[in-house]
Amino acid sequence: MIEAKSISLRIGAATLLDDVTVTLRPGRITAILGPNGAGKSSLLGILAGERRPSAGTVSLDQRPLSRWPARDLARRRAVVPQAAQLAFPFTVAEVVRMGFALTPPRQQQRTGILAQALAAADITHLADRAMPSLSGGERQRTHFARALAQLAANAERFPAYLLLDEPTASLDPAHQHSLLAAVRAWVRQSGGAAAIVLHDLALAAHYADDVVLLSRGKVAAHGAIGALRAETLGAVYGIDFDRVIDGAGNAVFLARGL
Amino acid sequence: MIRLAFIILPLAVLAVALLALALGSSAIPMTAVALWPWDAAALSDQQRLIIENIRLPRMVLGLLVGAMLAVAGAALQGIFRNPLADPGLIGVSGGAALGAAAMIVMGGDRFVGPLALPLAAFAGAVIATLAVYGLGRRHGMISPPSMLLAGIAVNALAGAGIGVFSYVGDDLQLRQLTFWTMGSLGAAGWSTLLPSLVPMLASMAGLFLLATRLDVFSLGEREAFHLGLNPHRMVQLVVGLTCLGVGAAVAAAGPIGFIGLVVPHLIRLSLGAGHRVLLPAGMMLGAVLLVGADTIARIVAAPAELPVGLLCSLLGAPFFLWLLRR
Repeated sequence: MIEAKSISLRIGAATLLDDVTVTLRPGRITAILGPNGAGKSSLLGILAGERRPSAGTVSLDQRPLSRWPARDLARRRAVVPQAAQLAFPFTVAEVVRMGFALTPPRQQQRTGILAQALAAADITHLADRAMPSLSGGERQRTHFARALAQLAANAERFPAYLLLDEPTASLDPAHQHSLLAAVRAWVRQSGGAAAIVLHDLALAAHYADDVVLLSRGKVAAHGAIGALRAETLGAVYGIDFDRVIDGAGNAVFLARGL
Repeated sequence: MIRLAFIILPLAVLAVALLALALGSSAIPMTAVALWPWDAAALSDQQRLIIENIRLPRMVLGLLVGAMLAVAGAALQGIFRNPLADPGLIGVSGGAALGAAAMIVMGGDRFVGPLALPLAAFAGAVIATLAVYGLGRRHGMISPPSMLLAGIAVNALAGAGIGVFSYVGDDLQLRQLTFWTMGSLGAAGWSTLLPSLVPMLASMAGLFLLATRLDVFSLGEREAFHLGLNPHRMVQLVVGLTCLGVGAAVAAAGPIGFIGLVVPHLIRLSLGAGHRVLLPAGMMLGAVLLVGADTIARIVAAPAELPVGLLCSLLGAPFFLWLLRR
């Protein structure tokens, strides 16, 4: 379990997060929602252990994240960044292999892990292409595959955590769904947990179990996504939402427009 | 492609080493040179003297310095995540030149043997790198972009210091200083080679061990941390190791440009970006290029010789431009 208790993040005079309490439970997908500047990426950075909160505590299995050595932490959680700038022209397969470069699995497992990660991100056909020759969406899927490879290499007795920062931002609708379906498949299979920063409420309703709704650095709602109310969303985003049932029988929120 | 390169490059090192021993103001037959390690009688006493005391230490120093500059260039480009980074960037060459200038002008007649100049240059390199590293820290964390800026500032300061020493120095000192800054393997002898050999070999061995981590680092500092790397420690290690190795290289041969910049470029273009190939292949190519250039520098104007650093810049700069424009 990753638990953030009453965390705040202040940089200079700005308060990016204010008294936020969030729990990521094994077996569940948490969507992190909120308007631009609400503190979603800051929260993800704190849950990943890369930023320390100014106040409050974050822990993984009751042990503060700051006390986890980087190598041990890498065996338990992976992060898919919004956009990673690769400095040199590595190939897709090389980048995915970097997922387990520092925490290597046994030699005979590597090919299988690589193939599975490439397939889950639907980039098997791009394996030998150089990263700079790919589109933004293809690069994003490569980093997703890298994170899957990282966690697959260390699938151990303990649940792992997959943190994704707007992973669908440059994807076409079909790949938005296939990526989130792959996240869901990973959670079901491994018994791990995922936290996903999202803007698309329909995608969130489709794939997430829980929701953290942030508004100006504060938690406006936290709990099962089915319990989220249109009024809460309306108050946070400043526009009206309708809760409707889609063709598959899921509740989704539609913005009414201005 | 990679397998082929690892056959060709070692052969090229051997070939260029053989040429460097055979060619020069007094040419020695190649076959005799090739036989000499097994059959001392293949050479005359005079030829053996030339090879053992002059050409061999110079060739070994050339191999080491060329290899060191290429490996350090590749590693620093990895840390700064910038293919234009160069060992000079962290202040090593500027600091070494300032140290050398101080010793040449202020040391005067009190020169304490042949090691005084290299030691002063090495000290300058270490001090300048420490300054760049110290100034590049933000909130206790090292940040490569701030280090780049600090490097520019420290290099400018070192340049100004060299200007001051040039201004107060007499004609002879000025000439000595000018030649030193052109870079040359001409001062090589066993007594100057041996002290620089250990730091260069140690530095290269250490950087080789970091190859996989350099791969991961090229994703970015945050991503490297996510994958299990401590980015702060990584920058410290690479900067420390390059300072040690390049400091020793510059102390022994003066500043030699473009090897550290061009060689990693060439290898990335032909063999890919992975550091486990880049570092060893770069090491061999750097050695070949520097010893090759030094051999040319020794024979084009024989019996006089060009400073090899000058030749490297003369050939390297247009070549690099061509590489960029391709």
